Formats: sequence, C-alpha cells, structure tokens
Amino acid sequence: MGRGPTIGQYFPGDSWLHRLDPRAKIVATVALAIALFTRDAWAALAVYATLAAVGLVVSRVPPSFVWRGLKPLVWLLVLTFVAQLFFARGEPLAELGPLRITREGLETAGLLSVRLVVLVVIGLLLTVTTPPIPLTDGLAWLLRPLRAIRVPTEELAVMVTIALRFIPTLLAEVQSIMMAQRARGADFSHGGPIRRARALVPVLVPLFIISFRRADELALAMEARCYEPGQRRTRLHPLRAGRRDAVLGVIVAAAIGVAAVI
Amino acid sequence: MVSSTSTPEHAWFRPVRDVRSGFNLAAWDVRIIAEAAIAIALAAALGQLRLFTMPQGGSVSLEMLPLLFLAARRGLGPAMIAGGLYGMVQLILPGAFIFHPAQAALDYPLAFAAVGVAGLVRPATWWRLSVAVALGMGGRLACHFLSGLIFFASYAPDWEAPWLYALTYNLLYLAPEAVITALLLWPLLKAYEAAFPAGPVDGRLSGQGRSRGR
Repeated sequence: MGRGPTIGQYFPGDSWLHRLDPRAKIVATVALAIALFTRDAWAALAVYATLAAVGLVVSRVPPSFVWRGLKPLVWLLVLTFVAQLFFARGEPLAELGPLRITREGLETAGLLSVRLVVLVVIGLLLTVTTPPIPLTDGLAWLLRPLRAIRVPTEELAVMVTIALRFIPTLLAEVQSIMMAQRARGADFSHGGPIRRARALVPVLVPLFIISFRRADELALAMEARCYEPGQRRTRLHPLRAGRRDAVLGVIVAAAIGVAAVI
Repeated sequence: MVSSTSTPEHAWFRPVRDVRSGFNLAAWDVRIIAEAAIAIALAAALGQLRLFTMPQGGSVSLEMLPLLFLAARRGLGPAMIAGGLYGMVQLILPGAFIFHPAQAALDYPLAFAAVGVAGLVRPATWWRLSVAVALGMGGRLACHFLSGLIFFASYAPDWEAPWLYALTYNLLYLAPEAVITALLLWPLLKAYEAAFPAGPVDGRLSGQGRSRGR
C-alpha cells in the first residue's frame, strides 16, 4: 500500500517504447519470451540480453524502478543457482564434504539465471512502458480471433478495464475505512491471526457494501449508455499502428534470426 | 433467464442449467459484469494488504474473499471468469512472479479461476459455505502444486521428493488463508444480505429489479 497514484508497473514517459502500439509490444514480448525458451545457448542469450539492455536505455525508466520489478526474483535466482550448482551431475570442479560443484552445474546455473533475468526484463519493458488500460485493449484486440470459437473477448476486456480503473479507488476506500475504525478504537495489529482477522469484519462489511453498491450504480450507468453484453463496441481512443511498430517488428525478427544462427 | 426456483431448497449444488448459463458471458446481466469487475478490483486492493507473511515465504491475504463472495452470490461461471481475470491483472501488478510460461498460467489465471469452483455449492448454511471455500482452496492448491512441480523440473531437476515440498509449501499458507476467509465470509454475506434484502444471494443470473430490454 501507499505506492502512490499509479497502479501496476507503468512508469509514465514519452520514450520511443512508450509511444509504440501496445499490440506491437505484446507480440514482440511474447515472441522474445518463446525464443528465449527455445534456444538456450550463451551466444543467443547475449543477443537477447543486449536487446533488453538497449530497451532499458531507450525506455528512459529509472534503474530504481526496474530494480523494484526484479527484487522478488532475487531469492529464486539464489535458489536456482545453488540447486544447479550442487545437484547437477558431471565433472567435479571442487568438493566440499557431500557437496560437489561440477562444471556442468556451474554452466547451467549461470545460463538459467541469466535467462531468467533477461526474460523478466523483457516482460518488465512491456508493463513499464504501457499503461494497464491500453495493454488490456491491445490484448483484447490480439485475442479477437477467439471470438470465432465464442470466447467473449470484448466483455472480458470491459471487466478488466473497469477493475483496473477501480483498484486505486478501492485501495483508498480500504485505507479510509480502516482509519475511521481506528479512530473508534479498532485494533488491527495485535493478537493472533484469528483475532486479527476478526478485527477486520468492521472494515470488510462497509467496504463490500460500498463496493458492490458502486457496482450497481455502474451497471445502471452502463445501461443508461446502452451498453449491451454481446454487442460490438466502439472506442474513444482506437489503437493505431504506425511505422514505429514496423521498425520494432524488424528489430525483434532480426534479433531472433541472429540468435538462431549464431 | 434460468431461475433456480425449481430446485429444492435443501439441494447442495446449484442446478446444472444455472452453471452452464453462467459461462455464457454475452447473456449476462450488466449488473453481473459490473459486480465481477468490482470483485476483481476489490481482490487486487485486498491483495495489497498482507495479514502476515509465513516464515518460508508465501503470505496470507484476503484476496480470495471478493472472489468467494462473488461465487456465493453469482455461482460458478462469474466466479471462475472473474478469478481468471484477477489472475491476469495480477500479472501486471508489482510482485508478480514469473519464471516459466506454464508456471505463469498456473499460478495466476488458472489458480484463481479454480477458486471459482466454490460457486458450485449453494451457500445456504455456514457449513455449506465452508465446504464451498474448501473446494475453491482445493482448486487453487492443485494449480500451485502443479506449478511447483514445474519449478523443480526446470530449475532443480535432481531434487528429491519435490512433490512433498510443493505440497507443504503451498498448504502452509493456503490452509490459514482458507480458514480465515471462511470465518469472514459468512458474517460478510449475512451483513450484505441485511443491507440489501432484495439482492439475489442464491446466484440467480438475472438481476432482481431491473432486467435488460425493459
């Protein structure tokens, strides 16, 4: 909580990456992620790592922001590294009692760790440079072929967009209700788990009532504007792909091509 | 729209026709769309509030509460769809944890869609509601368990008994979360019913007062 007004990992900006069409960015990210998992050689990894690094520079996102996205990975990296280092079979390099470091172990540990970091940075470049709502729009557009098998992509996108719009509102609501109950003497930070959970009832009841009453009003407003599930909608800001997006496509295709042959 | 008045009050499960129509999103009442969206937002907001973190990682939060609330009110379809979408939303919130495509799908959209399984049960009593919560938790546990196996298969292939570790790790935070959620859900549903006596709690898919086309 208290992460400021922006939700998600979006960092507002006006860089080349920020101005790309979300659809182009999603396709590029997915293509790179698949490519990363299909070819794990050091040379190929180096290509993708370079691309990710260039992306970070171009995006002009401060390193501290990127670090925030990488932080949850640290223990996984350590665990992977240790597990690979000691448990892989192969030619021993050093022995420490029952533990044995092997050449193969060292190499796979390094390879997996680098691949993981590159993967996460590439994913981060997408979410850091694209606000959540255009991201949803782009995803919904890309999933449109699924309408042929009667997947209601449009309605799903509407739900996600509404949810994203209300997350900050509801977070503020939670905080103000908690403050109100504290002012009346509620205590949320003492006692065992059950007692602490019980203490939350006076917060949750008003929160749910306010929230679902809001849902009711929202439904009324949507109906008043002739929203009908199952009908086609038009957009206030239609997505437009341009030359920039073609350039991104060429860069990503070139990187995957180069990584596949070297 | 399908009504559930034909099924006896004592039936444990929702009628199959209601369950099936719950997945037909194009036929949903706008009210259900709005409620599902708000439930997703509420889950995300409550997910930010960590009740406590287990020593081995994994933390207990109330993020399941809105999804189970939706399951109790609207049944399987809306709850599973909202759960799946909440999982997708989580992927773009800070703190999402991705190391493998299959793991990402299992740990986020599929795990929370599985919570919606709770919507199969009609939550007429406190006891049935607890069974519903247990069902939802079981679904989520199954997904996290599978993703745990994938983790070990791809990052620590020579680990012994990975299934045991994956099971205990997930149970250690899911079980307390299930108990706390079950304890809170019943008073919450009752309080909500008292505040909105007209609201359908049984999971009828058409809105009570307004309906489309009037």
